[in-house]
Amino acid sequence: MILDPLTQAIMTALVVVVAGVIFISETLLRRDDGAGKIWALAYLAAMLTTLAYLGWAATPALWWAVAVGNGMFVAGAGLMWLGCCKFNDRLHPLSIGIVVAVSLAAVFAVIIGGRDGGGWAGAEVMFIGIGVFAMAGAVETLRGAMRANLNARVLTIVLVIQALFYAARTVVFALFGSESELFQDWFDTEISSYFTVSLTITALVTTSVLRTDRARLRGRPSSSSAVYSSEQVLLEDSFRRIFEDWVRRAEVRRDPVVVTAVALEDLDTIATAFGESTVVDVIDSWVAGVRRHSPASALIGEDGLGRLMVVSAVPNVDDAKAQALRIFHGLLDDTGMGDAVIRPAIGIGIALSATTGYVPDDLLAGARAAAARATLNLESSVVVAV
Amino acid sequence: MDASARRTRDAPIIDRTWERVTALNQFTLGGIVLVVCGLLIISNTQTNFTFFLAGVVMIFTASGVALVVPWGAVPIWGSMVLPLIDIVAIGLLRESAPSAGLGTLWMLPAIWLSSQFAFRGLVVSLGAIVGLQVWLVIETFDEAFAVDTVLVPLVIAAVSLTTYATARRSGAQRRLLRKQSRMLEGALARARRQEMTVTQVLDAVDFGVIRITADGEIAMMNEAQGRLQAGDRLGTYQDPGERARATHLAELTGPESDERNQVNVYREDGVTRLVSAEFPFARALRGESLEAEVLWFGEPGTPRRALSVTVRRLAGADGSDDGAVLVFRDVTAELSAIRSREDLVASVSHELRTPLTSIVGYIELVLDDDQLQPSSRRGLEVAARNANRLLGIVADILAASTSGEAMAGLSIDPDDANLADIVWASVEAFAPRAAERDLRVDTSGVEPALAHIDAARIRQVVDNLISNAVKYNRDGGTIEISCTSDGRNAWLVVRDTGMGISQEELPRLFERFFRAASVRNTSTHGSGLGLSISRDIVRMHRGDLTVTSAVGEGTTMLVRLPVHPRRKGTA
Repeated sequence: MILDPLTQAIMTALVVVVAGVIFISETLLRRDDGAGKIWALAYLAAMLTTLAYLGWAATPALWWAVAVGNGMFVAGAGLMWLGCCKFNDRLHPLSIGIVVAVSLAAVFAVIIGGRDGGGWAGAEVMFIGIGVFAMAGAVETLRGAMRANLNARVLTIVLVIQALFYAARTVVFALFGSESELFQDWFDTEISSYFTVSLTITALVTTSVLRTDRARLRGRPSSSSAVYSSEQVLLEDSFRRIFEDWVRRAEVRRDPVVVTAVALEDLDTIATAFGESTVVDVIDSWVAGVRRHSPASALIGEDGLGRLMVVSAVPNVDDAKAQALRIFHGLLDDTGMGDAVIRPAIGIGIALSATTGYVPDDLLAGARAAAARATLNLESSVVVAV
Repeated sequence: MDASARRTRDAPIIDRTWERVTALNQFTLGGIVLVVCGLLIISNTQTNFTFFLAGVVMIFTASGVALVVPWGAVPIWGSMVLPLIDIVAIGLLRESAPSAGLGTLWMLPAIWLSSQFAFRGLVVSLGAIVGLQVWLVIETFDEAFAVDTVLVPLVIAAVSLTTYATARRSGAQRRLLRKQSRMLEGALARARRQEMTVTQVLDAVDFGVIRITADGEIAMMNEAQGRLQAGDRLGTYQDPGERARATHLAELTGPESDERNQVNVYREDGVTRLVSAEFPFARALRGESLEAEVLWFGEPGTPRRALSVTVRRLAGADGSDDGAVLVFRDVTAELSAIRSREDLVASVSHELRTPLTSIVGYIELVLDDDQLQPSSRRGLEVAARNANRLLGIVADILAASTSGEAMAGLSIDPDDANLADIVWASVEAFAPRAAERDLRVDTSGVEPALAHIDAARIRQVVDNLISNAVKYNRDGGTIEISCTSDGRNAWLVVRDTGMGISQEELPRLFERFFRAASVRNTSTHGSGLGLSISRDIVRMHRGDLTVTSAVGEGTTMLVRLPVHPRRKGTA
């Protein structure tokens, strides 16, 4: 398939732009502050590169577009490398300096060539820069945290291919020139475009996966089967499993089981009014508060957004109420909760095995309903399910 | 204003989102520009790629900067650089394809500036956009002057102003909210402190308090109440589980407890059993009030507990019923003390009556003997009279102690009598004792005073007053006795020169069994009943008995008896 340069540029641009948009939006949505942010910059550079080449393809007189394109191309490769360094927590200011310097060098190489430099002006600097940074990136993927990650191998391969291609391209370009048959057949823009497209797609998938891995790693302890959430309460599934087992065993001995639901209201409204980050803050301090003020032996688990379940074995309704009130007052007194403008309504509902029976679902549902009633009740913030 | 100042004013929410707001604003523009690129390529619009690419490069660079710079730590004017770059970039884009109407993109940085940077943002954005527009129009004067040359800046100005106003309003609301939230925090802290104080106070007192809400839920219960309820069945249950259940509130109060575990509750008389609907809690739930109602918990004959229950209704701010407060006071000890005192008095009196009856009988037998010496007879007659009086007093004490009601056992049988005669007889009876103590009895004020009275009962009163005057006088003192009548009332005054009664004790003088502190530890005997009974007798005559006294000077007792009581018979 033979395509004219403009179509090729458009096609490449489309792929890169779509990939970039996907990755950057994900970065923004995730509030990614680590390697993902730097990779997002790399995609941004890549997008600018393709747009610049597109502009040049449309208007060959636009010679400085090549300068921008080359510079951004090098910067993109450099940022890939920096992202890997960041992923491994080894980001050095000197590395950043090198990337900036080489990118600028690629720009100036074209500018020195001037208006009449043509399409390949300053190409050597760019080729070398890309090749070196790709190699550095590939090496980085074999070190530190990335070394242990299988997904990083794909990125290694992508970067190695890129490095090899640009090394070969540099050599051929230097030895035979851009007009040579060898270069035209194997290292021309057309081939380069195909490379760019396929490598970009692969890189997008890999970096996304790596980032997700990273985010998950941060939240969880070393155990492979996650039991606790990042806030150190039981995940919903784990909680259910343990809770059901607990109830089953308690039933045999007729041990008391008390389920206390602690619910936060108006999270949606808070998110709309003050942003998601405020909601995250509120939830964090709330979970910490519930953990702090619940009995040490109690089971604490998630139960949907904005609701925690505290399961304990207090013998009667009065003690259960006292325990719930302790949590409630603790949450009110916590400065973490009181510091923000927002003080979400807290409702606490209690369900007891003595009245509800030893049915896990009934206990949970009773506590939930009681908590919902508690948020509406002005007189008492703790309601017992009957 | 620098970043730190901004942080103190709007902390902490703005700060955390500042970075994000910047990135989102910038990337929204970046995304739209990408779409514009696509549209320009597809539509094949006449485009100056030099300007276009320059604009795109600027916007992309700004996007990169937006992503990496920690905007929360950058001075506020630094954050304004990005939208300004965007404004210039959009100017370039607009010039690159004049027919595409890309000037509307200015709307984005304009909204950004006026929402995030308040008035400065508004001024800067309007200044930059209008200035740029004017400059572009002047620079490219050869182009046709289109409507949108003016329209676009106008629309942008309108949008900016609206955004600015909205942002200002929400900012003000946020500040107000924060202020109110602080006030709320303060109020909450105060409320918590007060609640703690109330709880501590309630837990410190020794009476049980339960607060129930309007819909019958128990909102509060103090420690004393818990102890009352726990103690209520103490010893009754061997099984701890059953005991635990028995301590449950419903045991004491609730209509919902099952009959098996029910404590039997009896009325004040101790024998009438309450049905569960009459339990104080049930009555409180029905909206009733109780005032110190005494209830007995437990079977008659077994160790039981008496609680005095008070139920007060509470009214909400709007006057509606807001539940009630139940106060339980353990009055077992008080009631037992009263009961045992009455028992003691009754049994002592009873024991006294038997030998007295015998004494009276034998004296009468001796008096029947005709050979008795006149002097012996006079002595025996005095003895018989006093023994009979003693018998009467014992009967009174019995009556006073066994019946809780005031002197229900006393009856009067009034007839026309001369008060002076009664006084003379009494004076005569006490003459020997007065002589013993070397007292001068002044009866010069005794005048005839006819009245419709029960002579025997009034004699009891006069005897009591004179006996007190003798008993509590100092040796060698004086007793002044006078009586008179003004036609409507007969008056009797007994004045002594004794030790007197202090002002503090005066009001309690007529309480039954009361004895003043000054005489309690002396050899002077007394039951503490005399004045109480005397006053009751006088009152049954529709009269009055009053006392004035000064410590160390003496006491004056004043009896007023109506000459013609409107009503006869017992009171």
